Amino acid sequence: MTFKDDLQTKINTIFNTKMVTRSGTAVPNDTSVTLGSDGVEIDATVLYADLSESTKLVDTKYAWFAAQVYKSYLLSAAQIIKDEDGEVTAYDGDRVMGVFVGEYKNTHAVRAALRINTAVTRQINPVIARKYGANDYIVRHTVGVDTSKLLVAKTGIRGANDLVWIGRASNYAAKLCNLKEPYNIWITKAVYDMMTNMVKNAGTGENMWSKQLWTPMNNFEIYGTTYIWDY
Amino acid sequence: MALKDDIETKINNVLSEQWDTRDGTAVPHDKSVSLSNEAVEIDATVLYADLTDSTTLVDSYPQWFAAEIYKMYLACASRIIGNEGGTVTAYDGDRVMAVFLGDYKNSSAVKAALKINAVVRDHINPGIKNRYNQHIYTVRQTVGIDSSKLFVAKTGVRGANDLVWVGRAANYAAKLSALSTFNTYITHAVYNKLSNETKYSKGVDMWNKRVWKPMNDFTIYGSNFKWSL
Repeated sequence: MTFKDDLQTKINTIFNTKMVTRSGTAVPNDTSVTLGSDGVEIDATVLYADLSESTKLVDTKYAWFAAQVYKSYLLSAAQIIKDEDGEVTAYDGDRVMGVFVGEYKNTHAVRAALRINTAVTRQINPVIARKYGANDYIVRHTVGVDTSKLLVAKTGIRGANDLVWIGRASNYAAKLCNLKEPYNIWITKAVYDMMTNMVKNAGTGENMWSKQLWTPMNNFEIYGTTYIWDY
Repeated sequence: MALKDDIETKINNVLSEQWDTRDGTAVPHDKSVSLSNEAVEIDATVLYADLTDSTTLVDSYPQWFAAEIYKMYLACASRIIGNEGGTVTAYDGDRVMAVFLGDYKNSSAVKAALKINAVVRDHINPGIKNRYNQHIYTVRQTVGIDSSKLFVAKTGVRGANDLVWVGRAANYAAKLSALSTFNTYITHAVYNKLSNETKYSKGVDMWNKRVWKPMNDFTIYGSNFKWSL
């Protein structure tokens, strides 16, 4: 079979196979979803953590230094996601995606976001300042969190990690990471309404979150903060 | 060890170790790069293939339909990349990243981009139309390509596929795939290395020179040409 025919067959098969959707309560992994048109439907909260200005970092600093920044950020974000019972579902360049399920998925995801902020401001930047001087480089980042129903399906290309996560939460969480200051953690109203007071109010009692309208997304209601979680 | 200390230790390790850099000629995989501060340096061309408007797709169509689109696009893009000698290095949501190496890395990456355009226009979109007997959705996509030295290192989080690709090509290719006038965008570094067959069609240059304003007026080229399978 030629390459062209082979592809056409694959495309036809995808369209001619009815998607089988099952509901899930655990984060699917690549062996729990089969290769045809199997899909798992879950209520999930998605977190994207994204290094800001990575192009500038790569353009103006040594590659080994940029790599140190990437590694320390991705590693911190991934460890915190796991510690909050989330699953790291994708790495792609300078960002990491995490999925949270269960009753407290929004609280866990938001606390993870606040803790990633802590890691950057209290743990990564101080080390860089000590080692290379106070003004050499300051790591900046943005975390986006949204929650929705997700359909998880297999793309069928590589052995591992080739799941696609389809639903609003994946798209919005990634897009929230493109928002600029004054805030570096952004969550949607759906997340805000579901999370517990523990991650809504600061230790002093006031609300940490500022309500904003997401203009390019039909004025969707979102909330931003720059708080950290003091662990 | 508390999480905080564990993270602190890991960060300190990352920031304090000396890098052991070696030159590579093959696309590194997670077993060929060690866990400490080892990095592989390669001359590489990076391709990002990105579904346009996936938020609209997800917001306005049933999830299973969106899943079909995602699956087809990602499967076809990956298949073509492999066929042109590239290696798929990351999936993330609605986009795929690939790396090309060797003497013909730029021409091969561009050929893959033009073929992905052909698949979408000649196979996927007609397939959707046939299946549903009417025009319900048109898949649109953009491929971005740049070439530079890359620094490949391990993040040490998951067992597999946790490499970071640090270098201009990885960043610019991803950013180019977010542009929208043309289906394929390449930097001048790629354009200058193209073979005649990937630069001209029947004697006419397939590429339109543009100035990339938000990126300090960097010179880029865009094309809507396709390379039929």
